[in-house]
Amino acid sequence: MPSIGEDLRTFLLADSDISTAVGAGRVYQNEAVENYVGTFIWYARTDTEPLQTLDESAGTRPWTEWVDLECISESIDEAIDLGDLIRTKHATRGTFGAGTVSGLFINSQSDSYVPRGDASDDGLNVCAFAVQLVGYNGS
Amino acid sequence: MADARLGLGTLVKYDHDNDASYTTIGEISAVDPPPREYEAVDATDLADTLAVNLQGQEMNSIWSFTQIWTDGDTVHEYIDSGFDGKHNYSWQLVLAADSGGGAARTWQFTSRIMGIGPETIDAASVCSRVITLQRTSDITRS
Repeated sequence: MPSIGEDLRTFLLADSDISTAVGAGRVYQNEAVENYVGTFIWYARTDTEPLQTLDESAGTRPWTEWVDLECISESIDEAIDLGDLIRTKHATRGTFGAGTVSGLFINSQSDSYVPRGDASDDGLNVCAFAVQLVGYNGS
Repeated sequence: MADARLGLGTLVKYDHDNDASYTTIGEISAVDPPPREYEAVDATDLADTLAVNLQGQEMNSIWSFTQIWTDGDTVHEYIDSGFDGKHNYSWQLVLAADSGGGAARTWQFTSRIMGIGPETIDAASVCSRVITLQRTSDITRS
């Protein structure tokens, strides 16, 4: 069964505008690339929240999961354009990769957010989001 | 993950011309569904050691929703004309499918529009208003 990270990658690349913008499937989970060119997406799951019911079974999948997602490019315009494509996914529900999601919400990152996928000293442009996934069900 | 239902996808619909076809009111940001409550009828007698309440009739109830408001919009104007005419529309509240694949659920009932409350208009916020309704029938759930 794909992980939520794999389903997020599949979901993003299923959008032809996003896959064209990043090219060659450059959507990376939890690791920054080396010797990159052009534009890419970096993401990592950062938090989970259970429903916290009194009869919750051990091992129940969290109800809400948070993902930091960064659109990174040498070009500020391409980073912003890719960010706008990501924003179009706000309020998605239904098919999500091989699974389903009750709701996907694209939120801005806080002012204090420090990007982690940009190799820091390369002076790249980053458009960062906190993606909230609610009710994710893997296949 | 437990199966649960998210608010995203919830629809509020009404039959403004009584033809059994329902029009969706778009751009609703929040809805407070109609509560269900029986009238408590005091049946305590002198021999009781604890107060006794019987279930009386189901009480009518107030419900409301907040909508992004475009004055002059055809669908929004139906609400204003319903208020003006004191019409008793049939309404539907459609709850989205749950995370476990459970089907959407529909609550159907009649209501009168008791209040239209425009919210403060300021330069940087979208115009919105709160519609308050009085439920006038039982709720049919399906």
